[in-house]
Amino acid sequence: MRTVHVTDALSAYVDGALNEGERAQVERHLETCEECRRHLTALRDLVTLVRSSEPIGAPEGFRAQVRARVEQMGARPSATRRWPVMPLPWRVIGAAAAVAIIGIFAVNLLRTQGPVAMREIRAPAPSDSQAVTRDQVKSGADRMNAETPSAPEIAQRTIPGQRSVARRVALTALPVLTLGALAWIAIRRRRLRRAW
Amino acid sequence: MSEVELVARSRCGDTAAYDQLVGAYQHRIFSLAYRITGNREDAWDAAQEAFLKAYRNLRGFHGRAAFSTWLHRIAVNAALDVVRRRPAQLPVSLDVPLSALDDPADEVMRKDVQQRVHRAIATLPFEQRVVIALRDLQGMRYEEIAEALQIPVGTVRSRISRGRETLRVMLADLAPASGEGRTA
Repeated sequence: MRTVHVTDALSAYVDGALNEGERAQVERHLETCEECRRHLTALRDLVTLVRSSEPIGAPEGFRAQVRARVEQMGARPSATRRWPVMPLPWRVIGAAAAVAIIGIFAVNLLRTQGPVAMREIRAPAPSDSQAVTRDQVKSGADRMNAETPSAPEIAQRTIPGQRSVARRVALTALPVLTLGALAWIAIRRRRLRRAW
Repeated sequence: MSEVELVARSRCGDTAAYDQLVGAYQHRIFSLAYRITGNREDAWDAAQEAFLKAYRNLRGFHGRAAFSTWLHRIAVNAALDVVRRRPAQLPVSLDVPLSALDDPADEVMRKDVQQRVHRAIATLPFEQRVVIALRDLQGMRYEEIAEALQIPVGTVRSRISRGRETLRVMLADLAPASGEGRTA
């Protein structure tokens, strides 16, 4: 019959950290297993040895140095905090903001209709509106015809003006770069303060 | 003044109140840092940093955990920072305070045992070293250790078990002479 030893549970048994069921199981096993009983004795000896270690107290001057450094930090603990406390780490907020702004930037740049196209749609050609009768104006299809621009006009409007593209790039790049720089600074500050 | 009052005053910038807290915890925290880092110089740095970090972050301590548990967590992290910045070096000699023993030979033997135990703990993997120190040297319960380290109780249990098994093998020759059939 295969014996299942309880060696993994013996440490917790020594510490009284087993629940009732586990403890009963271990004690039942110990009644019949000499190997585990020996193991338990050795473990208890080891724990006694470690716990008998001389406590190493803080040396002379330790407390005074903590006090001096605390007083140097300023009267209020909050005075030393330069970054406000947020629910998420600053590097997460910075990274999320950078991604969001880059996403808006990409969408903005890929948009096919610009301010030039909007002006032309609002003012249809004069000759078309004069030729329309009252009945035809009431029908939705003819209204659409009066307002729909011709093919060459569409081709002209879907290509945004070069000056407006440059302006959009500049206006969107500025906040992107600013937020990117802030996020980079936040990450660097956290890295400097912690070893990992 | 109770610890709760001292913590509340410290949060408002009362450095004298915080000095009282430091006084209450300095030996425990230094001892823990010493076991984790392995030498006194690193222990000093780690323990100092732990108390300063705790003072700076008091605003973030909301009293959900015990102050002691929270402080121990900060101390473990501070010791980890020191260990990672400087590779842990085994101490060449152990400065164990002399106690009043009549026989100098006994004292030498005791120092030797202390040294062996300290070195054995210092060679454990960091994770096992921390839980052994918190359990056997700080006397914390498994649940307190789990809360301090933010790990499951089952993980605490297995790390203590593995750490002690390693120590048992390393220190087998120090076991009491009584008892037969001890196997390594």
